[in-house]
Amino acid sequence: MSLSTDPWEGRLSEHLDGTLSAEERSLLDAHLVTCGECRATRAELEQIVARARALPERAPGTDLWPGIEARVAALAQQPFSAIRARRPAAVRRGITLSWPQLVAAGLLLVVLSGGGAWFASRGPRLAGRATQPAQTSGGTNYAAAHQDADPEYAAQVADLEKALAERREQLDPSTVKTIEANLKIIDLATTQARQALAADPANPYLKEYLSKSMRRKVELLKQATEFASTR
Amino acid sequence: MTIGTARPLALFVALVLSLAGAASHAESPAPRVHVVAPPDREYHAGRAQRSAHTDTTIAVRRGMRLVLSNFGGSIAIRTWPRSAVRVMADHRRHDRVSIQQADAMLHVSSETAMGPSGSVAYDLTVPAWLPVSLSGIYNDIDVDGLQGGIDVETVRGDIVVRRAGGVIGLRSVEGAVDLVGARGTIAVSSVNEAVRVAQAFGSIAAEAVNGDIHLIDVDSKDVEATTVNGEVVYDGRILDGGNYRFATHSGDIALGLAESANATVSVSTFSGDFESAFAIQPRRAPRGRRFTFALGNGSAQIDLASFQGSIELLRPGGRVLRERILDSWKDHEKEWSKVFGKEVMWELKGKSDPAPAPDEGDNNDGK
Repeated sequence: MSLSTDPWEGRLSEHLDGTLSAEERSLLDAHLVTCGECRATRAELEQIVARARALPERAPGTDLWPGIEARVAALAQQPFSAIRARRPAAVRRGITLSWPQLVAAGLLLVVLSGGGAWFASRGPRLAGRATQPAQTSGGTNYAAAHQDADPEYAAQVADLEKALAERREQLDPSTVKTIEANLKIIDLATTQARQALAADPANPYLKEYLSKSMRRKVELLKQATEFASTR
Repeated sequence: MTIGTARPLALFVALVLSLAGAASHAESPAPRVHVVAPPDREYHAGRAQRSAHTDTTIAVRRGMRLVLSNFGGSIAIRTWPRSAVRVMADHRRHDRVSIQQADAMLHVSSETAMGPSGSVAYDLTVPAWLPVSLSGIYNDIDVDGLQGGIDVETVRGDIVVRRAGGVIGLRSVEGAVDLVGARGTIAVSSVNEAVRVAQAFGSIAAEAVNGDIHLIDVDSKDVEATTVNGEVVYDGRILDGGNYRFATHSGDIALGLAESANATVSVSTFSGDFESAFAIQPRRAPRGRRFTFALGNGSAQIDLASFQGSIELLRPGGRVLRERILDSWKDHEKEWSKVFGKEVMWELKGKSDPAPAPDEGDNNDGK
């Protein structure tokens, strides 16, 4: 059994086609820096595309167009009623609704509109709740998990990033690249966790996960800065 | 240093060394000493780079700790029954190995009068009871047999530690971390590579950012394994009253769990799948679910959390789980066979069931 556990492997074609979002592309770029297998796969894909483009244009062995053209011309000679008769029965009949069906459709419309309005009015309240300070869940400081809502946390990250930037010449460029790629990975995980939490703010797993994810960034920044200072 | 002063200085250092050597033979408590060990032979490596070899032995007593800092190169440590540390090092001719003993610390490092020292390949022999701290930037580290605790930190380089005891802390940024045959309090991490622990007893904390975590034949009541972009595989015992926490963001979690275990299992995913090789409620769960179920008396607590990967419960030691580990190791099987030894590799292969259990077959097909 061969299990591919690399979540990016299946996205390499999209990366090559340029159809990934900017965020996904940025993360995959970071992943490619550190993952030799994906780099190799992407290189193979590039080769395949390059070879396909290099192939000469070949005319088909049999030209099908004259036959198609003749059938289209023959169809155009037929009366409209004959063409209409070939369409599916439901399309021929059109859509008709009975009075009970119309009432049910009306009720459904009311329910959907009401639900949409309630959902729309709920959104800003949840966003407001996410910025309330000092909500604690299971020993985890919920507020600390939100960088935007916690200036202390934001300042700590900024200080560490500044310290690392000042000392980055002390580290090998490839090491700096690896650290930055891993910081990007953590950032994306944090962003996804924050988005998930915005959609499900009562989820204790997401709250704790977001906190851990952000703590991880601080720890990696500290570790990298310490290494840079040792040189 | 001029050539004229080099000879008297070498004689003086040799005198100091011989005193230190006598002390080591007597195995008496080592005096406060600072040795700048001269190379005992020089040789040419390559066309222009002149290299040298240092070999010296210092007595140590219980209660001491060895601290070795090496900017780049390699560190290999083996044990012997003597209460002494033998330091062998290959280095540039102008570099000197410095051994300083102060209080309960034996510091080993390299120095040079001409700027930062170059790459040094250390080969140490130490008593098994001696606690050891190793640090550096670019080092491959290979340690075997230390029972007094070991702390290792390197930026680029793989860490391999076998048969260790005590407080064990292994950290690498760009290298893989392998620990085989350990007993104690274990904390292992790599930022950008895999962390693998086999045949371990004691509390275990394993962490990675962009790497897998594999825990094999673990016998512990306290295990935590967390990564961001990698899988977590656990094939070990689930002990009554134990606490087991496994988490990943974009990888899978594969947990070996026997139906007969006494455990409360908490499963959390945001957009991942859940699947179990044996009957539980729910056996499969839709995405975005979090739920709990109990096996037996539920005394152990198992937390499984994958943000967007799948969570699988598999038969411990079973074919699917072992194949999963071996599959991820296949590209490096030869080198990892050396690291893990035949015993672990044999176990991984030898425990494979010839005929898969029906549930495992289902699970396998499902992948």
